Amino acid sequence: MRGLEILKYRDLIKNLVSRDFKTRYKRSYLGILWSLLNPLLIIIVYTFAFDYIMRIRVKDFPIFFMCGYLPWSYLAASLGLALTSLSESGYMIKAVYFPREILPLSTILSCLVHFLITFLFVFPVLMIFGYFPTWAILALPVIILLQSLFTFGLCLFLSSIHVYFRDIRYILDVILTIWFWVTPIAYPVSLIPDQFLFVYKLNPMTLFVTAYRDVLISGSFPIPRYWLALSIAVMISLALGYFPFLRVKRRLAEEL
Amino acid sequence: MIEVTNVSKKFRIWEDRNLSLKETVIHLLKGRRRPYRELWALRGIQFSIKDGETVAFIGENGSGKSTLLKLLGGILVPDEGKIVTHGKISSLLELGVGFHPDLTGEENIYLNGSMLGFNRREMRTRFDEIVSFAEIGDFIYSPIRTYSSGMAMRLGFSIAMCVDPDILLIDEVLAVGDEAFQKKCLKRLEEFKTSGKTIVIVSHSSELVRKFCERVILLQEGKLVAEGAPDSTVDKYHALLSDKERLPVEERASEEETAPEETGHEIDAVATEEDRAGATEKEEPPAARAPLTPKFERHGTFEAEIVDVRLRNGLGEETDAFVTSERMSIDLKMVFRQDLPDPIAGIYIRKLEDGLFVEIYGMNTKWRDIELGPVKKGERLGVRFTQCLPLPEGVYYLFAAIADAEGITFYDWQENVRSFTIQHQDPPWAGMVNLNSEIEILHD
Repeated sequence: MRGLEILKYRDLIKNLVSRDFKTRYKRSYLGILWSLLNPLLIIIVYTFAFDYIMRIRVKDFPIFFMCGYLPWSYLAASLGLALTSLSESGYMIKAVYFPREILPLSTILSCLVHFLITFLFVFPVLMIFGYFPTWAILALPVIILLQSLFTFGLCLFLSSIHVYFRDIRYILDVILTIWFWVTPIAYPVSLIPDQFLFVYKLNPMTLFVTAYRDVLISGSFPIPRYWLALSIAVMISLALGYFPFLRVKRRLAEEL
Repeated sequence: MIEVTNVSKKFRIWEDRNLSLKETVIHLLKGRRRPYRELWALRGIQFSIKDGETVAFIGENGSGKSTLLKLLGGILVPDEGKIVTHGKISSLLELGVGFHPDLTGEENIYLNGSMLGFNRREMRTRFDEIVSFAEIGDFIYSPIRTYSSGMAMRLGFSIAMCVDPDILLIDEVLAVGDEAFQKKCLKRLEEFKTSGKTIVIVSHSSELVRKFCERVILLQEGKLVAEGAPDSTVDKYHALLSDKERLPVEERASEEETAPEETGHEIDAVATEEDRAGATEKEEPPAARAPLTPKFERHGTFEAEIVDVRLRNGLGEETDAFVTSERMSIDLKMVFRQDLPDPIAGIYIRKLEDGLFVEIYGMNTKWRDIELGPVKKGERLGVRFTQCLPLPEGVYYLFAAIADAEGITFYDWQENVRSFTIQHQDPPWAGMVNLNSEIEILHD
């Protein structure tokens, strides 16, 4: 029922995403190129720091880092933007009825568009380093879908909380920084001491990053256990998100 | 069809709105919830609207009529009771919802349309109609940040007017725009009516309500107090307003203080950022405290704008407090955004009587054969109206406008742009106008 209602408003979702897309880089010279340049520069910086200076032993570090960092920045950008998607849309929420989850959802989708655009250089770079796509690439859309759902749950959670507690923004900044470093993005899991390994296993982003690397670098399907773990992570996240959201939704138009 | 059964709605008024997480944690640790008061904005509302009916909600500010409209539109959820609606609903509570200045008029039409629940295909079939209704021509392909405020407003109207729902909810939005455009909107609404659509409006305009609606629902402090034919219900509303006016101010204030729970308040739903930032301790809905405080209202084509209004006393000092029979100057500063052949500037001094404005005095440049124009685009001009105030004690409101020579198109229309007070000064007199009698004793 709820899902069906969202479908009726798919044009609104489409228009909000395209509004965001069209206006984000309006009046900037390089425009959409920034979506490519920005991650590219970061990959260069990390490669310099971790590969050349700290000499982390990872085969083809730029590739390794890229396959972890791009999904990560998709998550981080979504959380950062969706956080205020409800609390800063008061003027819309108070004037018109539409399913409110559309607001965080369209924010994520617009981040997804930017994430997909980065694949424009992901594949060429992979091929330059000698990694050619295998049949495992078919799993990529599913992983992206699962990550988007996972992100959606968290975004629902954060945007609902933000309506009442503005401090969550600063907490999120701290959490994202910590989360980035406890996820094996800039270093391999093999470097983690055994006694901390359970932390990594509990971290859903480890699962996602590993899945992306399996598909893009190793060229193999993630093992079934991974799919199961990813699906559980998605379900937990959606449950976690809908719980506060359904409570906040009722009074949203009056509390903003 | 709309069926409202025993609906109540309460609002939470947070005692201290800007509680931070730290304070919240302390609160939670102490086992307390954030403190708030509950105010019933609507209590036990019951009515039904048949398909094809045109109904108006009237009532003072804070009576709950906008809240009711939002409940019908699904924007708010009732705390008690049930609302059942059949058919596609469009809420026109605000114009141009979701408009983005960097998008073209065309893109904004689709965006705004989808927000009102109409998909791209449905909007495409109405596209030409919307553009011609808005009278903005090729500007439709330019970003709306390049529009004049009048153009953006007309575009918002046109989308609202060209959509095709079964039930149309309108909150006051039609009260803006120049007169010609308003007429067009009214005509459009008449078409809606004849095509059998259900229309529910909230309006302050008794005239519109009488002329346009088939049934009127009168709300007072969150309760439905009357329902029926437009004429009789509007009369009841006016009677209610004048009753309230006649009560001395002190009595009214104490009444509200002793029974705050009983009074239905409506939270000003369009609180701005500043409102929220400024509100710390009490979030008292301002409208509920002073129900008759007239709002500043502005509309027009903005081809000319009044950018500054100043009131001066006989000594040339700026003030808003005058005494009977004092000289007052009203200085208007105007900027012309277009070449205009023959603009006229005018003022009205008005007063509230029984909740309605009474025009005390009006004057304009045309009646005195003073020609402002022709003016060039970008030109600035000031006009001073100087007059005596042989008027009784009270609060007066100034209305100022710039219009074309015929007084049909208003370039800028500013209602209640200033208010000022007049106090009695000796010697005493009685009545509405100080005719300043000369009294002689005649010995026969």
